[in-house]
Formats: sequence, structure tokens, C-alpha cells
Amino acid sequence: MALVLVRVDCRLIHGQIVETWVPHTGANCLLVANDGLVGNPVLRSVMEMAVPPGIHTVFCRVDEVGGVLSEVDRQGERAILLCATFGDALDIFRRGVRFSALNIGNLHYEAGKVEITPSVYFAREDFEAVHCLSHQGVAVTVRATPFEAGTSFDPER
Amino acid sequence: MAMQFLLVAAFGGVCYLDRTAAFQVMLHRPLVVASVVGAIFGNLAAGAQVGAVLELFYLVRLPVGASIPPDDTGAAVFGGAAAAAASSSIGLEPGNLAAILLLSVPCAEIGKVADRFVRRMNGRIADLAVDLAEREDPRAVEHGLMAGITLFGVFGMALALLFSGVGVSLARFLLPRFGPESHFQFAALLPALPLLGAASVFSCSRTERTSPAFYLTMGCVFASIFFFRWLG
Amino acid sequence: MGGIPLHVRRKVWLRQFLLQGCWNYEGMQNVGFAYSILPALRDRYEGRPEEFSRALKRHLEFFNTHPAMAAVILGAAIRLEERVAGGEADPRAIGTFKVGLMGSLGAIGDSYFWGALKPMASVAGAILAFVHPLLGIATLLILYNAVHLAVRYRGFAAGMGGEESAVRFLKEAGFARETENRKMVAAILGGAYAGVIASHTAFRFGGAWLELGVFLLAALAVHLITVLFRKAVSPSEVLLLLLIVGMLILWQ
Repeated sequence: MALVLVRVDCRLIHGQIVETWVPHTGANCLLVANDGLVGNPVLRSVMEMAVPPGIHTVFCRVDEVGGVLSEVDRQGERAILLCATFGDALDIFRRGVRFSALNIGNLHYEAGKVEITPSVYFAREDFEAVHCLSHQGVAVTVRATPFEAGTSFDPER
Repeated sequence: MAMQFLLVAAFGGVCYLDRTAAFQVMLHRPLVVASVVGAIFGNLAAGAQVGAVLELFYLVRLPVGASIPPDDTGAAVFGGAAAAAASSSIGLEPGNLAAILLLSVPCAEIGKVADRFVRRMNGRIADLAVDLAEREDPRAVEHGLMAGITLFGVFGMALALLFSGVGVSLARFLLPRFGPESHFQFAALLPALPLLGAASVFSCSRTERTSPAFYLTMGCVFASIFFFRWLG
Repeated sequence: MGGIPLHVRRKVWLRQFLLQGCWNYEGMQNVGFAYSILPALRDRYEGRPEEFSRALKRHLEFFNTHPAMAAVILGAAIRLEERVAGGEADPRAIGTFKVGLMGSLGAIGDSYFWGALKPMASVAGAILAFVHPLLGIATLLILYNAVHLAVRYRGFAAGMGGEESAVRFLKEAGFARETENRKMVAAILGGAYAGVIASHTAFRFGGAWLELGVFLLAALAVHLITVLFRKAVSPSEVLLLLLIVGMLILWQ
């Protein structure tokens, strides 16, 4: 299986990914699924600067993930899939990309959101998405870096 | 004695500010902190000996995003104070050094919890500042920032006072209770500690290219020291 | 209307050092960023209280990046505010720019400063502290801050030149390559440090074969601890385990 980590993180590629998750999982490919970034070459080029050489970075739209992943699989790469919101993650899952665990990194505070951990805040639709994914057998865990124990969600809550 | 603790509190406050709130010019690194705290308690070299080992321990824990690493500044305040106090009474031999280094770990973890608490308190300050700034007075931003800095500074001073106090009393009262044979046993653990530091450096600088470089240098340095000792 | 006067720019530059002064979980560096940029806003929106308060509000939004790399964004944000105040740009562009850049710059800064430069300066300082403590301290502070302060200064200036100039600065600085190089130096120095420690330990045993054994043991220990770190075991946990082992030996 090519996917070593699927993560929801509103910051996409940042220090926690590059410095802790990449060495921890031994990944050599970062797959960023975000519709906004595809049309913004400046931000994309700055984001690419953050990735160490030797790590392959792919940007794609949310609906292209399946195709890109099978390509990554053919190359024998180990990929971390990053998306910015739960909505995107759910969309990817519904389009047939199967994963058994979903990691939540950072979801920033906004008015009306509920605190889960100091760096993760959920809106109502986020709870719904977690329920939906949990019922399909996806283990949802809030874990910013591998050094943290992590908080998991059980579907009954 | 009171004067020394006052100095440590002032210096500790500055170092803790440098750690997160202001400047980040690396004044808060254990090598610097332990040496200066050691100097305040009368022995810079003893403090530096502890600081140089502590310096590398937690490098692998990067302060990325909202994740907070163990408080090595606090560990260094404790270690520097304990080392200097020990060197003037029972002597800083390997057994004591290992004990001080290992006992600094709880300080680092306590400091981390305190850091998290300060950042939570800051949340209230920030809330208030943002609210006031948007409704009435833009200077609330400046006041809020100053309040946050003061909080970081005050907590830093308190932690520095606590850790140096614990360090000095440990060296004065606890360590002398152990006899020479237990010193010898603790001394056996000492080489493992700088090696853990080296592993920490290696872990955060590890790439495909640097892996062989690390072990090769380790071997070369070892061999050349062996060779020169054999010559002379 | 002229550009932002020098003394205001200098004030903003100095204020960036307090960026994390009110670090909090909800907005992270938001208060710090607003505090830093405040003198420039006051200068640009003098006598226009409504626009001023709208501008202040946009800079009180969530913000978080690496503290040293924030200089680039701060410079570029000032330049954008200048254009917004002059009616040349859409105020929404500022938010998009800040949000878009902060994550990536955070990643670049975390890898470069925390993951490469700091370990390199630390281990160089720790090695030279064997020679003399003050030499070690001076080395650590100079190695780190020569680059740190230069990035804060040049990044701010590049940001002041506008978005393109900011991106050009990041490209030309070549942070990814520099990160690799610094990591290489850190690994070599770390190896030298481990070698010195191993030989120091071996010296106490004497005898060539025993010394070789000690060396192999040391290399193995480093390797094992590295594996543990990669498995996300914290240094504290390893050290506490050692402490317990020490206590048990004492108990016997």
C-alpha cells in the first residue's frame, strides 16, 4: 500500500510534517490534495521550497487523488496524503480512496468552533464527518506530532 | 545566598523570555544557562560540564507549531545550580554528575507543563486585547502583548527560583548521603548520557547522506585519539 | 504620499522580536503580529480611524509561522498595506498572502533553524566547551545568530520590496539546500562528539580489544537510541528509564 499516512491539516505542508512525520513514517512522497493551491503557482512554489530534496511533492485537485495515488503506487513510493479540511478527506474517501486511519493535525480556531485539543477546533460539520468516517471503519486520531500520545474518537460519542 | 537566588531569578526570567516570547537569540540554551547559573553559585566550569551534556538531549524535539518540547532551560537551571553546589562540597565526580543529569529530567517535564499553562493564560489576555482593540482602543494590542510578556517573564523567574532551589538543596542534602560505592555505580551510567545527546543530534540531522558521515566521523575520531595515545 | 518613513520601519523591525510575546493557542502569534505592524498602520492611516480599525482587525486574525521567517511576511504585509492605503490594492489580498505564506515559511524555518542550524550550533558549542566553556558559549551564540539576524534583516528588506521580491529572496537564499548542508555539518560534528565520548570511556578500560568493544557498544547504543527516537520515544522517557535502572542498582 502506497499510503503511509492520511492527514487533515489546514496548514498542509509545514514543520510538523517535514521534520517529524516524514522521518517517522519513512515517506518519500507528499501528496497535497487542495483545489485552491492548484491554481496558485506562487504559493505552490513557496510550499515546495519547504520540502527536503529527495521527497517527491505532488499537488492535485481533490477529485484527482485516486488517479494520482495509483501512479504513486506504480512508482513504489510511500506517500503522505494531506488535505486541508474534513470535507476534502470525506470527499476523497467517497471517491473510492480507502484508508483505515485518519490523522488530524491542526484545525485552527474560529468563532463557534469547539476545542478538541489546543491546536484542533471542530465545527459542527467536522463532527458529522468524523461520525461518517468512523462508521465506515476509519480510526480518527488527533495527533499533531508522533511524539504525542494522540486522542482518538470512538463513533458512539 | 539570597543575593545569588535573586540573580538566578533575574537571569532565569530573561532566559525564559528568550525561549519563546522574545528574541530567540539562543540565550536559553542549556550550555549558556547552566554555565551562567553555575557561575552565580561559584563554579562556571561545573555548570558548563552539565550544560554541555544537557544542550544536546532534547534537540530532537523541535518546537514546531503548537507542540511544546521539554523545558531544557529549566533543566539547565537545576543542573547548573546543583553542579556548582556539589563541586564546592562533595566534589563533582562522575557519579554525582550522572545523578544530577538524570534528575534534571523531571524539571524539564514540569517546565513543559508550566509553559503550556502560561500559553493558556495568554489565550485570555489575547481574547481581551483583541476585543478591546477592535471596539475601542488600538493600544490594547500593545498592552496585551506587554501583559503576555510579563506573564512569561514572571513564570520564568518563578521556575528559575524553584529549580535552582531544588538543585542546591539536592546537592547539599541528598547527594552526600550516598556512599562512594553507589557513586561508582551511578558513574557507570554517565557515558550513556552524552551518547544520548549525540543520538539526538544525529536524529534531527539524519538524511540518507548524513548517516554514513556520522558513523564514519565517529570511527575516525575514535581511531585517531587511540592512535595518538598509543604514540605518546 | 511618500513611503513609510525610516523610523517607522525601524520600529516595526525591532518590534518583530516580540512576535511571540502573547503566544496563545487560539490565535497563536496574532497579537504579536498586530503589535509589530501597528506603527506602520498608524503612519498609513493617520486621520482615517475607520480604515485604521479595519486594518488592525485584519492583522489580529490567526497567525503562526517560524519567528525568524515572520520578518519576510511582515515586510511584505507593510508593503501591501501601503498599496491598500493608497487605493492600489484589494485589502483581501493581505489576508490571502499571509495565510498562504505562513504555513510554508513555518515549514522552511522549522527545518532550517530548529532542524539544522540549532543542532549544528549546539553541538559545535558542546564540543568547544571541552576546551573552554566561554569558547563554547560564544561559538553557539555566534554560529546561530549570524544567520538568524541576517535572515530577520534581509528577509524584512526583501518583503518590503513586494511579494515578488519576497519570493525571490526565498528562492535565492536556497533554504532547502542550506538545510541539507547544515544537517551534514551537524551530523559530522555529532559523530566527532560521539567519538570523543566513546574514546574517553574506552580509555578507562585499557587494552586494544576491550577499547574496540567499547566503541562498537557506543555506536550500537547511538543507533538504538536513534531508532527509538524515530519510533517517537521522547528523550525524557529514555532518561527516566536510565534513572530507574540507576535507582535499582542502588537498591541492591
